[in-house]
Amino acid sequence: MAEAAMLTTGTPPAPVDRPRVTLVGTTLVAAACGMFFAGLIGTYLRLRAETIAEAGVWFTDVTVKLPSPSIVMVTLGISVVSAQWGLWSITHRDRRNGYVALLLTLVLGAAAINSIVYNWTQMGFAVDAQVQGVLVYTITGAHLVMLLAAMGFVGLMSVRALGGQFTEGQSDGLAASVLFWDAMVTVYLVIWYAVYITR
Amino acid sequence: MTATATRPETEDDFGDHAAPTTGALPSVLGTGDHKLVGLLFLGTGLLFLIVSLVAGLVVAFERLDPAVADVVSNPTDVLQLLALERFGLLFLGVLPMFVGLGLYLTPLQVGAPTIAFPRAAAAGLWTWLIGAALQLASFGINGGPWGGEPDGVDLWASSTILLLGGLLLAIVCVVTTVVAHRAPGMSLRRVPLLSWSMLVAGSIWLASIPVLLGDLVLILVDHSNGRLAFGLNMELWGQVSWVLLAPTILMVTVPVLGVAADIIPVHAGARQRFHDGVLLAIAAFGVLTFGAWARPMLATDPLTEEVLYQGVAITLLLPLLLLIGAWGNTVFKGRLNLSGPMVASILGVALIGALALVGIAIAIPQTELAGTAAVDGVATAALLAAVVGVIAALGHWSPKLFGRFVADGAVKASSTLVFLGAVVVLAAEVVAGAYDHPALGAGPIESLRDTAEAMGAVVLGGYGIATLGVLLAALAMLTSTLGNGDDAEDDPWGGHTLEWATASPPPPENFVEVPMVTSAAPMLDARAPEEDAS
Repeated sequence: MAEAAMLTTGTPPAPVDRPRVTLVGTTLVAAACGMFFAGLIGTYLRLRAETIAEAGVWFTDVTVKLPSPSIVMVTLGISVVSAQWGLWSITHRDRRNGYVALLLTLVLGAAAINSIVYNWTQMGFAVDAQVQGVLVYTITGAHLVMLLAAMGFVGLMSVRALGGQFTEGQSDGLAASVLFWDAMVTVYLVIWYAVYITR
Repeated sequence: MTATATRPETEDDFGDHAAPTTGALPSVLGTGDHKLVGLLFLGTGLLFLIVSLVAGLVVAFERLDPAVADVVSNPTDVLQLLALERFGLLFLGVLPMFVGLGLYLTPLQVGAPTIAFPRAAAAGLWTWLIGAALQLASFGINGGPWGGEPDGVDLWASSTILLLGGLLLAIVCVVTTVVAHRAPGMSLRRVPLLSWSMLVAGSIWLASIPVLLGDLVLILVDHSNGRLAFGLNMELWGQVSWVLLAPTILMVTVPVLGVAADIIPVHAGARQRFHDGVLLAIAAFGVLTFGAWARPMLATDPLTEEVLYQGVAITLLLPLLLLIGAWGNTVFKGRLNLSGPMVASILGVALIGALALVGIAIAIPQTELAGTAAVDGVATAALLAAVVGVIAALGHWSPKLFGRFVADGAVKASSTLVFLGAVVVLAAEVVAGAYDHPALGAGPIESLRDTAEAMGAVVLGGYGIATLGVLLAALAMLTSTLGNGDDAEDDPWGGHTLEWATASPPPPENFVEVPMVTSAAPMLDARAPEEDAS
């Protein structure tokens, strides 16, 4: 049909393969998520600065420990590598490694959820105990939702990859899921620094 | 358009979302047709717009002398109506109507067979609609930012989150379409200016609305758990009303510039002058309306004392002046054709210009207009400027939207009424502000009545005129939809862009052949040899 179009009109036809619609859409969603967390963390830092200016301390009667959030950070950091490994393998026809890497990414995501929830139990303050609780639980809870969404997205694309989709030339969906995963980890990096490191 | 090429096979990607062949409810509920979804956004948005304006009328009436006006006996209920009016105008009326226009028109303008993610666009519509219905219900059970019923307040916050989520989903579809669904040869510099403005506005909306979403989630969690961070119901309005203040509120006016930029050259019968400059000016105006940095959860000093705020307020005028210069030059090269869409476009742009000037006045500390009724005037006038833009768009693209013309006289009359209403409200609120009348919501309604009687009557008149204009536009749209207007040709205006290359209304696949684009005005190029010969 392409040749026919060339013959009749003298101009090239529209490309049959679709442009990177999923990737563009996911980029926009990831950017919107980034703004969502930027707003939350901005509010957190503002209230934190005000409280410290008045009382000299932010977390009162609460011990926010670093190990568990740091383990989450390391876990998610590794998952970025495994996700990229999965994408690279699938697009380079190394499907066996691709499946292993994508499965590993999902396992690391589950491990991160486990650590986040464990950290909540260890922090020892209720959401309605003080302002800090509202902020910390909202921010980390919203990130947990984003992590679950990223796992769902990568999981769906992994199933599609298992079904034979995605090649070197057409890896839009899988690349989009990995991009969203990276955005989710970047958000956690900011949370880790703003909430836990500078506590 | 110099040539066309065969439409690509898109069935694999966009398979079964073709327009319903029957009017049956399941077909509508399950539709993935971007044209039907866009029309549903437009129609329901118009309905909510009228509801919000009626709420605004009641609020304006309550500002009169209590001996004369006491429709709503409980002062808190007036504030509830104020929240309903402002949030309703923005998130139930104006923004969804522009999203609807974007969903309908951007695929046609960029030469795409459909919107990107058609099912997501439909999901966005229904999510927004359910959220909107729940929000109205929350006001009904004493919810809202000033609500007395805690569950009602929670319902208001969660329903607003829901409707904003739906809107964001639809906006992603529109922006993605412009970025990734363009016809061959259509670079971003060749994108039609309405689509360009939707790209700019959509990006700003995607950057701003999630920040509000974050505020609402925090408020919801806080309100459900002790109300430690953001206080009681009465204090919630201050945390979310930043979207209704300049510069953020001006983000709704960005597509008005795109509407005008597409309409003015076509109705003047001339090619857009300084096309790249117009692209840049719309983008600059859009970027300057990003105001999430100015929200109370972040701001430390009074906003108007910040250099950034003052700088943005003054700079906003520059792209507008550039646009007005470019359009003036275009009309000078062509002819001044005072058709309905042209008149509405000029009025919309004039109103935005007036807003920019008042914005500068508010930003100058010596005027002491900050925090006064003048900011209410800017909010209302910005929303009404967007309404004028929607009316202009309905008049211009009615052949594509309905297959028939909306009566030209109705477009002129309705846009003029809304414009006049907006000017009256803006002027009255600025005068009231000069007399230290505080912004609505800044204090109890009793204190407003003491200082607002004279200007309150003028504001009420302005709201009345604007509401009349919107009702007239709704009637004209309804008449056209029901088939009482004149049937339209495919390209009745001599359009410049791709949507005029297809039938009115467009077929389910939009284009029989995907056009090859070689300039920013492909249809004008295609006609150029004929026009030269004549």
